[in-house]
Amino acid sequence: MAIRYHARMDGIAWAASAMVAARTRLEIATQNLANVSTDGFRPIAAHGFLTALGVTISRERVLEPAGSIRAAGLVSNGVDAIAEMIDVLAAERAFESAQKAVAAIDAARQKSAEAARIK
Amino acid sequence: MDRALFAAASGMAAQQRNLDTIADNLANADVVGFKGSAQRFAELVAPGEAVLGTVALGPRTLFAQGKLARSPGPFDLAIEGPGFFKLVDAHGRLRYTRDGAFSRAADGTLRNAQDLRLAGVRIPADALSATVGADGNVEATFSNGKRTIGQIRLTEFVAPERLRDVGGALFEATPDSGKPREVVPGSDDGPKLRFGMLEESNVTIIDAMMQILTAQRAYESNAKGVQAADEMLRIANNLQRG
Repeated sequence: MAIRYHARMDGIAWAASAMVAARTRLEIATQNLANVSTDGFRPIAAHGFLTALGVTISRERVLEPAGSIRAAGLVSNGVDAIAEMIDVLAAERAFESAQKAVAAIDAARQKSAEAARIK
Repeated sequence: MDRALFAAASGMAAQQRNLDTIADNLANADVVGFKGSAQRFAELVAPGEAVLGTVALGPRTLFAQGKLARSPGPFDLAIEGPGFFKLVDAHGRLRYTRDGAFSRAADGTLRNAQDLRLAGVRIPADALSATVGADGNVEATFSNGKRTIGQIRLTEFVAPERLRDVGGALFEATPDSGKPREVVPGSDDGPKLRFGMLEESNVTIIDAMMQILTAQRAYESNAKGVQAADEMLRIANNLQRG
């Protein structure tokens, strides 16, 4: 049985989708961090899943009130600053790894192109 | 990444404004009748859930009651409960305040530190001393006995948080604050006047210090977000071989 590949389903596209996913993750984490003092703010949760075209991130509002009633000016609205910071770092590293994968595949293809030229 | 960069930068800007407000509260923590304020924030979202960060909406005055402290001033008054003293400035404009540190002027009027006149009371020149009751009645002592010479009335607003802060613990009525409503102090459920006391600011140093720490850390994590977005852009630039 022949395996049918999607037209875009190659290594570089997959790795690039991981880069886009990491970027989206950073966007969500920075949005949550930026609103750490916003009253009534509901943080956004990032969910990653795999499709035929690579990795995608879906965003979802965390609707249950996780914040607590607070004294005037003391922040507590459901944003977990530590978790968001970890997300920022993780997104940055994930982006770097995906970029390395793109670069590696690119280098491998270049090598095979050179090999083909010599023979 | 540009959106992440913007969201993180907007968070830094908002925390900066937050710190401005907290610093103002702290600076005025010892001002009689001062009301602290809190910065408000709102999330910025473009249609389609594109995230854009946050924005500081401006400070909101918090009219919580300040602590009453005994004060030796000759005409110190404090309001227990809602309401404001009605003052008249040199141009006849009305100002409202919770600062009740008054002193007697040569013309018999009661004036505050900025020389604004307390509306409704004038102490006769031959009065030896005067006291104010919880109901605002001013009782003066003359050489031939005591006599009530007037009543200090307070002013309430439907929406005091919409008053305009004109500085010096003074407020001005705005169309949003509702019409000034005169109240006689001393009723069971209304405000009461306390003679020989002053209302301290409602800012607590400890709270303000906590807020500074929180704002500083929030600023820091947003700065880290900017760094991460910047680093990602650098990594993306490395894709292009030279």
